[in-house]
Amino acid sequence: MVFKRGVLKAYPGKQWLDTGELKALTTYKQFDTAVKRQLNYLLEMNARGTVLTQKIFRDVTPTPYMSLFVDGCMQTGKDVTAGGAVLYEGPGTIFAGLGTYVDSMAAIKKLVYDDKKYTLADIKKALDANWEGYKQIRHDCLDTPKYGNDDNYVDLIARDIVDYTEHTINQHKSLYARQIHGTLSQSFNTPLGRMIGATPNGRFSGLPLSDAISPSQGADTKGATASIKSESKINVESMSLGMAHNFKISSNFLNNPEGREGLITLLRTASILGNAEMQFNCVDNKTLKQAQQHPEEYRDLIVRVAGYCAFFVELCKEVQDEIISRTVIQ
Amino acid sequence: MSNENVATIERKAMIFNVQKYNVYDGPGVRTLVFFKGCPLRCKWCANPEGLEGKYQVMFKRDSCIDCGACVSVCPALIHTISKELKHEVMHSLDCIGCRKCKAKCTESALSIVGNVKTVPKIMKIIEEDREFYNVSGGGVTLGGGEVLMQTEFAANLLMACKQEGINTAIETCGYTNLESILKVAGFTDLFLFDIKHIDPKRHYKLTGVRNEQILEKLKELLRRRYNVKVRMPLLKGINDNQDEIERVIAFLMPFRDYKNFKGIDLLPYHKLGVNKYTQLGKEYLIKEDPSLSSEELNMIEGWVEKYEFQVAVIKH
Repeated sequence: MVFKRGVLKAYPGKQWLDTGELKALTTYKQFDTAVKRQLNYLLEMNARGTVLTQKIFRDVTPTPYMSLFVDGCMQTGKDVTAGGAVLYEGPGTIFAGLGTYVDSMAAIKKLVYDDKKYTLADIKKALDANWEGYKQIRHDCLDTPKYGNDDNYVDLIARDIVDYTEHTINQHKSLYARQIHGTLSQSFNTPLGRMIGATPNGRFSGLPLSDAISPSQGADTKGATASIKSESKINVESMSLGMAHNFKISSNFLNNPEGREGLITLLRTASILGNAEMQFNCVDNKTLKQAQQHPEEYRDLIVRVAGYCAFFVELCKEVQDEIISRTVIQ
Repeated sequence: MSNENVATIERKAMIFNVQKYNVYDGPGVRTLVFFKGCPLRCKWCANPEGLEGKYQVMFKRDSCIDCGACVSVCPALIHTISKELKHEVMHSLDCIGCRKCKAKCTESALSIVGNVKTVPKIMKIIEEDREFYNVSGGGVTLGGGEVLMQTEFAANLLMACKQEGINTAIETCGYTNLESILKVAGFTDLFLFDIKHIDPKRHYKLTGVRNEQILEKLKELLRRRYNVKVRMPLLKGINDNQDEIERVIAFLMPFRDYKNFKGIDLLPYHKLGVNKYTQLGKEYLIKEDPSLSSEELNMIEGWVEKYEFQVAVIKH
């Protein structure tokens, strides 16, 4: 958004802030501040929308059946949506693309501000062209540190933006509590990716964003332990609406005792390091690709998308492709 | 030799990978340090990039677009363009490891194997997974290539690990002198010692060296009460027949009930490293597929169990 000075590609007109000339952002801190101004604006709009939705639920579509099971509603004689419950938290906003965002910020930090190899304008040209004709720049962007490899250079950017987002959104009230945010992206990373152009982490226009707090697809090259270390640096308390770290393990891995013990170690250690949710898909890409070709033979194949399970053959092709593109633990 | 002397002799080693989250190379979750260079040339080697001790180019022909960018930056004249205007790599020339070619290649067709590392650099990486070692009873395994071609450094690294309370293991072919193996033994919690073939002549045909001194070292380690687990890579029609297995068992029988003998791991052949050969400009010498089926592996496991050895089949 900072690059486009407020214009989202998919829609006409200007929906965002004009954060001014790119040239004026001479330090990483200034760039980061401009990005956060955009984020503040987004959160502001979002917060208003959230309260609006709450009012609609309250006035138009209450939930009497659910209210029967929520403490306080029977006592106060009020629906959950009307404030009858004993305790409220949220609602809030969930985000997709943390990995994509963090890798992109790191790429800019390294290439534009640390190494001074390119200017913001250079990167913008490459992004606008969807990297066509800018192979060298894309290669350099792909070469910068990536989230998911236990590298503080980029992991701390993740911690920072999650803390910042939670802190900012907490300032907004919902009807009965404060607003919160979470990083489980369900499957939104795929359709949102369609709307978003090329990103400085090397991603092409229209491709899915990273899912939940997992590393960008293929960016984690140092294995599961490094991936867990990376996301452990994010404060779990700052993701009040929830988080999810998606893992894909090859089915071979569970066929022997060493693999099973290894998986248990991942789970135990991740818990000790303060992680709240890990999800596993134990399939091999070969099976997934075959299921795409012959869905009638794989009707019962269930996969974990991001925060929920689904029948693989019922997912749209783009989401199927995105799951296939995630890194596999062998 | 005092600690001080050992620490100053070899400060650097040629390593080709430091890989985390290994579960088949010793107990628990382990970080594996791969040493470059090996005295053997096993025909089935899954890490061909570890055989030579020098820098090497790995070239993915399929990704290359013959743009010549690497040719223009290589100081060692390794990258050239042929008469047919195709990029060729002169693997026989000595790469100096500058990696300028990799930086220039927009197609990710090039990588350079080999990194000179110091003990502190490697320890920093090892430390990153400390919590995983604690939870699983894991630690560090040295492998490769052959660790004992860079013994001084290996000893330094192991000593540093022990000082930090990290469990250590070494995977070795055992083709070295006694002094070398004893130098590291004091800092090694577990040896994973390979027996490729029990017959000296067959061993020579398969690996390029005879096995007498290898088997001597194995006996020495067992006698001196160091923890040893024997590993047998199994290839169908090559070293998997009953006679061969029973000869190995006969060799190990005197040590079967030693507390420090930790049993036998059967390692079925796998093809995971095969595409690396072409990238290195080498030929993979196993032409038919020597993979064993589950039934065949269970049968072999049965032969060993019959003699009351601890045995496990390590399927990847």
